Amino acid sequence: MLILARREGEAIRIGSEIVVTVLEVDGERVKLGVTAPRHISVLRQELCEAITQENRAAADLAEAERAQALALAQQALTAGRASAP
Amino acid sequence: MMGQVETASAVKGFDLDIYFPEGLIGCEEWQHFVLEADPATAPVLVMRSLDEPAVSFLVTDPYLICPDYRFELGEADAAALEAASPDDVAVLCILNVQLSPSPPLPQRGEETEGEGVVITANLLGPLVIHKATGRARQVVLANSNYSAHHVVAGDRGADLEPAPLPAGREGG
Repeated sequence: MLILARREGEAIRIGSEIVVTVLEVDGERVKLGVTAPRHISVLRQELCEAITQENRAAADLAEAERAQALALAQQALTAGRASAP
Repeated sequence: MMGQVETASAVKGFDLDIYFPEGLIGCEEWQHFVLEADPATAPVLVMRSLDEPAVSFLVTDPYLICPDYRFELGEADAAALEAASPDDVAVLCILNVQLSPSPPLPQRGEETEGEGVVITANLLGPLVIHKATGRARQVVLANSNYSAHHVVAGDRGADLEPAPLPAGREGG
């Protein structure tokens, strides 16, 4: 990992199109500004990790369990629509 | 910015090859899937991996779970999908069915196998699919309050969720 020390107002450039600027440092929090082309999505890492975890968990169904899971999901969704107590 | 995506009819008439150029989030190697819409299993569809035969997902229309589910499709996402309008795309969400989650506390006595089922939906990372081309992308609704682990059925799963905060704080 490349490690760079930066102060408020200083920035780093990644490639020719991405600039990350340190806008504010306040105790444990750092405010960053990211300038990137529109086709590059910028996301907080923990969001990606939450989704990764869900993706892996959802895919982790044994062949034998899949039919049961499918039936249960179908039941839950159709029951929810039929009656809303 | 594109307009809001509203595609409640996503589940109907779907049976196609879909391609995630960047794979699923955290699973970049899973790119090619076939979406199987079997009327017998509606409104649940099976999204089966063509890259890895053991991998398949149960997916559904998120509007069935959360009737006011909506989001703005970001420019990066719209560009990746090559979508010109919200009408071009359909939205699905992945279901996670846990058949036997480990109970929070050890329980003595009776086995309650059937009641241990927890079904959650990933509303934070929906799948957006270009209806004409099958080009697809898992997007992250970064500025929403949607959960990656929205409980659809199963009390135990609800118990595991953190208690909701009170609606209003004192003094606003």
